[in-house]
Amino acid sequence: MIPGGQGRAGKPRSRTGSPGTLAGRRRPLPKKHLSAVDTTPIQRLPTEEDVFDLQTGSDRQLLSLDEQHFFDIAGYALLPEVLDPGQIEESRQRLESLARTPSDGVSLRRENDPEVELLNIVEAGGVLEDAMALHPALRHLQALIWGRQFRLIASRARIRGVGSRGCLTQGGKADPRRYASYRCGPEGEFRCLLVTCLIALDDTNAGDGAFCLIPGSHKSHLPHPYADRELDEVPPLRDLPLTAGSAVVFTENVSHALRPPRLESQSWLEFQYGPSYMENWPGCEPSPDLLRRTQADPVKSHLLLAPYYHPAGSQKKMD
Amino acid sequence: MSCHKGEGMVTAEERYLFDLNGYLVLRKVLSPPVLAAMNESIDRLETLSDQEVEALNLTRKYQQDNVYAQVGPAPQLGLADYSGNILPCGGPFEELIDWPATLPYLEETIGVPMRLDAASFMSRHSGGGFVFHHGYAEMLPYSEYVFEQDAFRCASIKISFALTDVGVEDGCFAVIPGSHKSHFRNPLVGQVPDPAHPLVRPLPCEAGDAVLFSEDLSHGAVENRGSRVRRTLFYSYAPAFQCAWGRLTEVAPGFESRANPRRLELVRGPAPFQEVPADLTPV
Repeated sequence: MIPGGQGRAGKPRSRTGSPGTLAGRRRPLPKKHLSAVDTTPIQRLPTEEDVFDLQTGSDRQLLSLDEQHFFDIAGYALLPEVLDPGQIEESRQRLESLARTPSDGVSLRRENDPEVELLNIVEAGGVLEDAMALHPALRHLQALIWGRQFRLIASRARIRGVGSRGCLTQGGKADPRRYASYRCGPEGEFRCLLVTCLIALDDTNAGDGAFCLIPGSHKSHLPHPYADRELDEVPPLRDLPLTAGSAVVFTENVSHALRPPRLESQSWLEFQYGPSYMENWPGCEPSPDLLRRTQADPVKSHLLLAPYYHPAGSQKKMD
Repeated sequence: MSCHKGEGMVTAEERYLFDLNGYLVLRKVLSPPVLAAMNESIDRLETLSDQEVEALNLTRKYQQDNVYAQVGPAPQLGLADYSGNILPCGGPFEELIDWPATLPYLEETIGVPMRLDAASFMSRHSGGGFVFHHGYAEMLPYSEYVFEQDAFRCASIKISFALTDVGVEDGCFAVIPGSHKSHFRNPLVGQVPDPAHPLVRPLPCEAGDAVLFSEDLSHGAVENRGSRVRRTLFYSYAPAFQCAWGRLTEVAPGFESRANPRRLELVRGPAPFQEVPADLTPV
């Protein structure tokens, strides 16, 4: 099962104050007024969560308050060392092999020479399949998207050569990609649509192929004015140097880019997730073979479920 | 098939009222001949057994979920309250997918590209009701109401078409105007709407009228205390990257060859992740 997603907590959260009452919302009154107000406890009314079961697991927050606050402000989270050296090496070798001879279900695209994009890499199996379900990433995904109701939308690898271009996405309210939107409620209820987990297979740094973004741009109301500029000429852009095997999880609604490698080619794994009702990215439909070989794995099979709005059996909470 | 409501642009007042209230009542969008054809088709279906209906690729789901509320006694004769898919009936039900009287409102409130994600029929007798559900504060992602950058970007818009006259006594649709923007949980959730409550607005309709609403609007139906059956069609639309609701977009054989391009695209769904062209995005 998805970590921490074994079921709903027994009691709904209250916004403030003790669970089960709304008393915490009331401001303390000056003592002289106490006799003038009704001190009868406010009867708690049922909430949507009490009555229906439409958002499974969304009431279980897996991130600390610091982590929630950071992601809401910045739009990303760093995940150090999600792959070990053996997995990194296996990933590189498989990508090299796929770039020479794509296997069934994996498609190859040369976006702009010298960059190679491999689409639907989970079909290749091994570490490329396992990497869709890394625990540190899942912990964030369950918090950021929609409780347990999230799924894999796309998987890719990028092999970027010296001279590959970097293109800054729009991000924020002006981003035309509706499927990338960012939302967070007053109690840290994240409802991101597309969330990306990007894993570096090579060391990257500010001068050499780093992932970069504009922190906070997922909440920008205005379009960024940098469409015609080189990445080096975008002042608010911040580099996130990653060591091989480390990852960054970010909302697609944050303005981001990959800087060009300077010395050697660099490889990345990219997994994108969305709410359970989001369609597959074209070309990323799981094959029958992939579904068959992952059916005994509860996490992978959960991620590969066909799109759905609610799990079977939900909406039956109220008698 | 003709429709009475004129085609064309959504007016500034309608935009204002939709943002203010979360719904619009569109009068006379179905003409009497269209209504007659639809009701005759349903009359015929209701003479069939559940098994015979299933053989036509139609479902007949008797109301048992927790949105439905049997408040009064169930009818002694005929079918119990039920809902089910409707597009396999074809004909006027198929034409409603891209109905000229409602399509401009969908394009305005959702934006493009979009798809039909469900179409269903509901029959409700005396004694039945629907409890209040949804509201902005619920944070249900697939129903989000959004207006930003001077444009609606709603994640789910539904249209209920009245096939029969439905007054307050007949269990009409009811909403809490403004709840699509409320940041507080709906205290009336799970209750059958009380038409006398100051926040509740029942929306009586004549046959042929339609209510277009954001799914983020708290909505339900008051108890049907009358003797008339309430017949309603629900057509639901969403951005193209959202999937269909189960079998509720299954169509009749031959649809692909007879549907116009727009209708076909709405059912099959346009490319799910295409970006909205820049000239359609007010920035």
